[in-house]
Amino acid sequence: MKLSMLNVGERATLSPSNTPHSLFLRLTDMGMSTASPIECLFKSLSGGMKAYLIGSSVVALRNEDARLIEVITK
Amino acid sequence: MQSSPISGRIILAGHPNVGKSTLFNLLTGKKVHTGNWSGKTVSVSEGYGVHNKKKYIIEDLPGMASMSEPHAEEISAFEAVASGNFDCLVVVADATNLTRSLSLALRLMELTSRVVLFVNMYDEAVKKGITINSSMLSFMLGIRVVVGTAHKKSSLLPLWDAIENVALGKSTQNVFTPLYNEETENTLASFSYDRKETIRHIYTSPHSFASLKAEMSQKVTELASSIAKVCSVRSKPPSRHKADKILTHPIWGTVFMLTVLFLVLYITIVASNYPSGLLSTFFSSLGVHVSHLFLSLKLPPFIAGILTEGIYKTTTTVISVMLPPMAIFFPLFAILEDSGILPRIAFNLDDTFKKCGSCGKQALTVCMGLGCNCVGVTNSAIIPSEHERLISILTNSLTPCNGRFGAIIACISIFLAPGSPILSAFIMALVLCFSFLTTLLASKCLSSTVLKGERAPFILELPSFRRVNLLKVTISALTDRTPSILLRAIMVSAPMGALIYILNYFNLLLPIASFLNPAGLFLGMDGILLLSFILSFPANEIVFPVALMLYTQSGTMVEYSSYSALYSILSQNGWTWVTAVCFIIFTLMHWPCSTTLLTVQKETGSIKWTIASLILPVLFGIIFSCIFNIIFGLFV
Ligand SMILES: Nc1nc2c(ncn2[C@@H]2O[C@H](COP(=O)(O)OP(=O)(O)OP(=O)(O)O)[C@@H](O)[C@H]2O)c(=O)[nH]1
Ligand SMILES: [Mg+2]
Repeated sequence: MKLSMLNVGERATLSPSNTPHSLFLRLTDMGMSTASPIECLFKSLSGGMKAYLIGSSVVALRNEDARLIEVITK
Repeated sequence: MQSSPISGRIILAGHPNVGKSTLFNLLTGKKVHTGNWSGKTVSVSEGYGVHNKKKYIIEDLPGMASMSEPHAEEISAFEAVASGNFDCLVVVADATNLTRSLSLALRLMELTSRVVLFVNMYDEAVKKGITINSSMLSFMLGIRVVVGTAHKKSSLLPLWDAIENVALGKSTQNVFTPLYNEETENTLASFSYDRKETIRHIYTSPHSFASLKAEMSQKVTELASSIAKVCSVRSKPPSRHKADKILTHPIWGTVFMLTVLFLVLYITIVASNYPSGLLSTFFSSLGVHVSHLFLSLKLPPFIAGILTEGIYKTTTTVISVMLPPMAIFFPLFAILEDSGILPRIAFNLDDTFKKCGSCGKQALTVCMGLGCNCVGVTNSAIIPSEHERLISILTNSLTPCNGRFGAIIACISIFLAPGSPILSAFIMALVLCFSFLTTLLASKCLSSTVLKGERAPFILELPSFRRVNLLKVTISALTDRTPSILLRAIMVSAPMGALIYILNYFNLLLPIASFLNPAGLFLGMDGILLLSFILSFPANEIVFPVALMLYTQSGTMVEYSSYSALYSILSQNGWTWVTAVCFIIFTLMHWPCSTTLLTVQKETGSIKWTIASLILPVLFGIIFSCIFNIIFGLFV
């Protein structure tokens, strides 16, 4: 499923099937990897952005951008 | 010390917001700006540091969030490391986020063995219950590791020792290099360069080797995470982001942002009133002695006039009007900046900016603009997308800088809310909200006409909140920012004071003012106000003082001490509340000051955009004050 579909409080792991587009590359450099889970922490005021715990950093993404990242939930 | 030979070149690299600039300041004794948000430093700064009587050049690089998909300033930072043109690379790490810092360190260690790792933010780590075993870390990485706090002098000595050791080549380091999986290693070996050159080649080829980069990046993160696990212990569970849930709540978040804005303005207005009056009285009594001094020197009256009535009075008026609000606003602002609240504001406002063709980071540049538009323009470099960056640069002067606060606050206090600081602060907050709306409107206009572009992906890091050392932040804002901006205002206002005195002496100003009068009236003001705006092109701070001088025909600046005295002068010259509002509108939106224009020219490198940044606010100012004047001019 898409990262943007993750609700606040839910976790997922990065799917190995992602294509390495530019957003994906930047995020892997910020600590995103198949080895550690991603957690959705909170939404912005009007809901257009969500903050995720990626590795050990808190990174905010727009929903339309988070749609570009494939994740797997258990 | 200046002429002594240089023993080595030290460069500081690391992720954004790990404290590189703070460390740079510690090593060099300089005062480069720092702030709790990614991308505070956008260009390389250089300084000198001295240890054991040896002098070193020290370079503070912009933060590197990504090597695989770098932005312009990250490329320059990477190039600085890859060129090998240094004697010691200090990788600055964040003790509270060791994994991430180590992954960058591991990748930079593939390029050089002259590395020292400085694990910064140890005080924060201790608060979070994190301890770090530095000898283990040093052993595993094969490099010198120093753990410390960039704010504290005690971190200096061990760091210098490590740097000296590496820079002077006293011992060679056997650095750890990552081993990738077989496929990646084979690909790396297939290049016709050695390992270092291969790595350099891969990372300096944008948009190529994407899968390879993704693979290497994830591998390094895994390695970094296992090293971090071995070398650090966490005794408390990580925080649950409670403050963030409040700050980003649909209701509480909005309430919080507006309350902060109101409080900052209220404190600025109330606390600056009294010292302003005091300074003004002080300068005018000192002025008597200054005039006596010139009398006793038997200077020709014209020259003495230029010196006292022109230069002395102009600069002292600017000081007494500007200094108190600035001295109060800057520390308050620095506290906001250091706490980590600003990125949350950007997070909350992203939707709004997105609708106007820009992104949440523009909220940061708008906030910077409240301090000084030049800073807002320079910091627009944090916006990676070219057209969004230009939008931020061109619209920045629509946000009133601190130098314009004084005149706006005075107008509000005299005409709109006499005698009530609370109401004044409230109106001032409305004025800022209005200027924010015009910024959005201008952004929308630009993005749907000349600055159309693909919407770029937007990544915003939210750094963890930090408790701010109030005393330290206040002192550094007062001793560092305030004097430099004040000095600039003085350097500009002194010659302007002389010029205005001379023009007035030869009776040249009033004819120009009456020539401008029709245009001024059209905008809800008058010729004198328009002339004052033109004369204060070098520095916005002097608009109001110049206007008062022209009204009273005193040939000199008027004392600013009492609002009731000002009320009678202004109302005798035909001011009504509509004039006051039109004046405020035009203060918000007219040409940027000369320094800001120069900064725009420097940042965009284009005359075309510089002119655009001049015309845009003028157009807005004419349209808005005209409309207001036409509608409300009927009622007075
Ligand atoms: N508690 C604590 N705060 C620190 C320490 N070092 C830096 N800071 C704070 O961390 C924030 C970021 O510091 P900067 O020096 O601006 O970081 P930078 O690495 O230059 O950031 P960029 O220029 O954005 O790449 C500032 O608010 C500093 O005051 C430290 O050792 N302890
Ligand atoms: Mg910096």
